[in-house]
Amino acid sequence: MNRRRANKRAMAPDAAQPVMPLRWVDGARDVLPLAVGMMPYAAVVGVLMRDAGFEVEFAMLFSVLVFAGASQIAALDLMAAQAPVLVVLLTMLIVNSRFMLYSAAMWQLMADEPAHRRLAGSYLLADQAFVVAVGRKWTGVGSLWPYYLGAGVLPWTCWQLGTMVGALLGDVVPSWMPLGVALPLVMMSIAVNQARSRPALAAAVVAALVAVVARGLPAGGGLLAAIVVGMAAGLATEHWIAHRGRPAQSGAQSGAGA
Amino acid sequence: MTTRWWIVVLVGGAGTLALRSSLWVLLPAARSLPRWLTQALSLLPAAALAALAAPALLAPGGNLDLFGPRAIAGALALAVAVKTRNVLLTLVTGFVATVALERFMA
Repeated sequence: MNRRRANKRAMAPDAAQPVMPLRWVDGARDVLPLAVGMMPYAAVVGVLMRDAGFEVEFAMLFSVLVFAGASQIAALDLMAAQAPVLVVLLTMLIVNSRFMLYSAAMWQLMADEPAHRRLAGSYLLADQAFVVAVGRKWTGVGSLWPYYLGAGVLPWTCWQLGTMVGALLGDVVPSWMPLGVALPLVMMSIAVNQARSRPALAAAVVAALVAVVARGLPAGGGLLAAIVVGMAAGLATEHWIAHRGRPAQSGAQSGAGA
Repeated sequence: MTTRWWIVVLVGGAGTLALRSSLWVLLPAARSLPRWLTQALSLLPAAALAALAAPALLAPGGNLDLFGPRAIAGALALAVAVKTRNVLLTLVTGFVATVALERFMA
């Protein structure tokens, strides 16, 4: 069982402290701040759906089937502007295209799971579950599935509850409450925790800059550009660190960096 | 509900699930990805989170506002995040600062 993700710390546990497999409660606990942080955002999306004339049942169907806030807002926007259905659908898929990247990154951790778990797990794949599952301190023992399930089901539940409350009650939150700021704050905080290595720090800083500069691009294009350019900057940094000090070999191993 | 909305919800839902499940379900045989790709993917969470958070704090509502309440509160929260690595403390600091600054600067 030579899992590539098992790092040295996990493989060499203290003899006195047996390594435990991660449980679903560990995943739920780790994702809790993100799940709570997304509830106000979910409520806002619910209010938007109510304003668009949705019955609660249809609003819930939308949230359950799509389960991706940014694309739901984009669809509401474009439908209100009478855009062609094809344009609405394409926009939704572009906004959600980061899930494809998440899927690729998560897939390595899930490769040993049976197909029905991979399908159920991919349905739960959102920003929150992804970040927690990839950033977890995996013990190297047992399957990651229970942990991922805990990290996936809790945000899903908060999202559905939040949109339902918004769709049922409308605007119940006092206007001075800056609800929209909660989720970016939590995301920033977790980004800081993720950016422990220099390549990851470079990726985060560059992605943030590009996202701000390119924010005006349509259909979430700025977000995707920021993620891709940020990852490229991280790779370049990694390459630069690896080849600093041994310039004679830089040509031979450059395949890994570019 | 209109037919237009039914199409958007059903097809949009199916398409989003397809994106989410793309590499898990469609490529179960591709056991080993190239090294540069696994490296790139390990950088993905940091890049994605920063890209999601930065515009919301520095350009709320779409217009750049580097000295606005959210940017200042975000900078404070960033300092707390770097210093403590505590998500909840970061959230509370940033939230309270936003409330205070939005009242004060209005």
